[in-house]
This record gives sequence, C-alpha cells and structure tokens, in this order.
Amino acid sequence: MKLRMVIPALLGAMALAPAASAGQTQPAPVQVDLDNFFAQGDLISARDDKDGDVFIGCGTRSFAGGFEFGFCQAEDADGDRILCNIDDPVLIDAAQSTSDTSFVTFSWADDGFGNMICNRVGTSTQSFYLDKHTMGNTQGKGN
Amino acid sequence: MRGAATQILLIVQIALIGLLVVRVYDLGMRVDSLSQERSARAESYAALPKFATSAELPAETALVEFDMASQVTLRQIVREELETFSETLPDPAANTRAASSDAAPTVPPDEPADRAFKRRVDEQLYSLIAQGQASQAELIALENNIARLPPAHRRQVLGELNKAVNDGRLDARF
Repeated sequence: MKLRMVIPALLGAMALAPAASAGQTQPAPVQVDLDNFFAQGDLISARDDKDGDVFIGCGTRSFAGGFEFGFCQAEDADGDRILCNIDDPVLIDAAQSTSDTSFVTFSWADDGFGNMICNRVGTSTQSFYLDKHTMGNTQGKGN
Repeated sequence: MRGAATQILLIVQIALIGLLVVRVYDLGMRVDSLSQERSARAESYAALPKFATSAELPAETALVEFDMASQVTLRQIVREELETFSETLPDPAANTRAASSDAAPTVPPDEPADRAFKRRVDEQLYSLIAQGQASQAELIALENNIARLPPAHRRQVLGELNKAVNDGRLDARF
C-alpha cells in the first residue's frame, strides 16, 4: 500500500527536477598544456575535482617599500604542473582580479634560463562557471 | 855614559807624563762640553709641543701615514668596483628581461652587506629545496627576505624558486 504511494511521488519529483536546473553550464576542468605554454580552468571545477592535487589560480604579494610580484600556478589531473612569475604591473593587476568563481587562463614563456615568466593572465567570471552546489544546477559538473 | 842614558830616559818619562796630563785635561774639557750640549738638547726637546695622536704629527709624518691609508682604501675600492663590474656585465637573461619589462629599475652597485644578505637568502632557498618541500610559513619567511633584496637579486632568487618548483625539486604552493 505504501509502495504504491511512494513510486508516483518519486516519478513526480524526477519530472520536476529539470525545471530547477535552468541556465547554461560550462565547467572548465583544469588543463595545463606544457607544450603550448598555457593553462586554464575554473576555480570551482578545480576545487571539486576528484583528484586532490588539481588546482589553479593566480596571486600577488605586496611589500612595504613598493615591491610586489605576482604568480599564476596550476596542476591538472594528469599531474602537469606550472608556476610562472609575474613582474609586469599590468599582469599583476590582472592576477588580482581573480574571484572565487572565476575562470582563469594564463600563458608563459621561458626566459632562457628555465624561469617561467607569465606573459598573459586572463580571468572571467561567468554564471556558467557556477556549480550545482551554489545554484542547484545538476548539470554543472561533468566529472 | 850610563848616567847620561838614565837621565835621557828620565827626561822622556817626564815628557810623556806631561803629555798624558795634557791629554787627560783635554778629555775632561770635552766631557764637560758634551754634557752641556746634551743638557741643552734635552731642554730644547722638552720645549717642543707634545703630540697625542698621529693626526697631530708634523706634516711630513702625517703625509706618510695618509699615503699608506690611501693605498689600502684605494685597493679596497678597486677590488669592490671590479667585483661589481664583473657582476654587472651584460648577460642574455638581463637582455631578455629588459625587453619584456619596461619598468626594469637601475641596479645599484652591490654593497658587501647586500652580497652577504643575498647569500643568506640563497642558503634559505637551497635549504628548502634540499628538504623537498616548503610550508606556508617557510615560504612567507623566504618571500619577506626576497623583498629586502636589491631588485636584480630578487629576480634571481624568484627565478631559482620558480625553476625548483617547475622541476619538481620543491613542492611549494603559494
């Protein structure tokens, strides 16, 4: 008797679920391309990745006296990892504009002595990078 | 004959004794003269001004000491300038960085204290590399010291840190 009531209720809930997951979703798992010198990914995908080593982000350090430097770093699920330094003020500003839900992309070049210097830093804060936990979007995570 | 010889010897002895007396008297006079001269010199020396330090010495002595000090100072300056010059010789890395950054500051000549401090920071970094990983606290300590380095040295140490992380020799996350 109870089973007859529960089954229709479950079917009804499943039918209503798609209506709650509105909006485009575009997760961007972390990718580090050491051959083409770029890395990208959104912070939420990185944080929720099953691989505990995966991460991506940019940061800055500022010191009294005017010295500051920046960096971007990432590691993907394949274990490819990169850290590039930033000393260009324009790129330092870009690195500071990262938010918790940003998509981050950056490129680098070898300075000839094995030091990786960031030469491009980009961030993008878009609704489609938000995951199912914050917006109830059940399609937000592909992994 | 014999008496005459004795008399001659007697006269000669008397003459020699007289000569000896004259000689002794002359020596006495000389001693007195020298004593007076010595006293006079002692008085004139005592009348000279006394000098407490080498800076108050008469000009000739001070000039000799100045030359010695100048030589030492000049050698030190030349040595430091040569070291600075050898370190500031143009290198490809500097050219690459200068091309990529318009805001590259002029590198001042290194002071010995700067070099000693850079060695300490280098040792700090190599110690972290040797242990294979760096905690957040260790990275903060390193960053704080890097910030105190001259600009050229900052880039060098940050570059070494960058290479160590990318080579996998140092597990560190900023």
